[in-house]
Amino acid sequence: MTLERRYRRVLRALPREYRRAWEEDMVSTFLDSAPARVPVGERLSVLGLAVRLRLTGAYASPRALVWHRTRLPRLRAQRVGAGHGPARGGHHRDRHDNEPARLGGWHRLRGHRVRAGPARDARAATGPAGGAGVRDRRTCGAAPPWSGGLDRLTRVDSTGATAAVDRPSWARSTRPAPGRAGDRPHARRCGGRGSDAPPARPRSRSRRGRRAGAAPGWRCRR
Amino acid sequence: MSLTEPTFFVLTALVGEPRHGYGIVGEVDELSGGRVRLKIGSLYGILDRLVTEGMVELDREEAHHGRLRRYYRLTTAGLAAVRDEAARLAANARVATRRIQSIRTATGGTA
Repeated sequence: MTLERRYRRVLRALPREYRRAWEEDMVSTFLDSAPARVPVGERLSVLGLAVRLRLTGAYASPRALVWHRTRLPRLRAQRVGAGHGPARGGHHRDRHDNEPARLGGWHRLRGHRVRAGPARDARAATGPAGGAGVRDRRTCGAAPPWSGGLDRLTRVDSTGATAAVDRPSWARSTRPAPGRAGDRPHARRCGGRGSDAPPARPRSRSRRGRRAGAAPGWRCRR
Repeated sequence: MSLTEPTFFVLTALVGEPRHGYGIVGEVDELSGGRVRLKIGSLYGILDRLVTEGMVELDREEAHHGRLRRYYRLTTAGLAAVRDEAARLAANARVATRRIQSIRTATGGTA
């Protein structure tokens, strides 16, 4: 097996959408460094990146995002309350991006502060024109994370002002921002549930059929 | 917002000249005196975030040994972020230096 193929195998740990945007350039950069093999450090850095991407931000699975939004802050609050962390109400280090993140209603996802609150908060954050195209998986609370596109996000600055930000076309995923329930690829894979319903496991398919229908990285389980 | 050290060096490496991925790795190594050695996974995690935040953008693509190389450049927002971070670090260094000098003066140069 050539070195390039070995490195591409390592890169398969990354989310598919991320690979579409960055894989060729990563391979090019790796081969430019003229290594004799894929060093352990490089493997670990790709695996670390894969974990970060899958737990937070635009490439996270719905399950991971929900966990990150709801369970993780609760666990952190419990740790702070138990005296294992910094003083209550203070700032602490986010273990994913090593930048200060605040406990409570604000999360740091992929370097952006986004509101994690009731749906009405995030709807207000997207503005009056905030439709399905404006909301996305990074906009916590606005819509279920599986109902939006990957290429647009709402940035909220320290004053509370919001701005819709586009991802550059060359680094975009090819997954379209779905408008109707039938347009959502994983909704189709999971049996086309209602517009805000999470993907559900198909009931009447054989194990083999499920394997063939489910895309890597998306698990259609309750 | 403070930047992590690798992010700061990636932005600094792009000041004045667009660079491709391997060029950034080499420049960061040189700028940091060999202290920060970026792995490719780390570099592209940083680049993805900087592109999303509008601090870095694509400059051009060039063919090299049958592969496409992407060159990245700093945006105005990226340049402002490096400038702000450099000013912040310099101010921190000044405060620390002043404090160390005052202790030296007080203890007659033994601290």
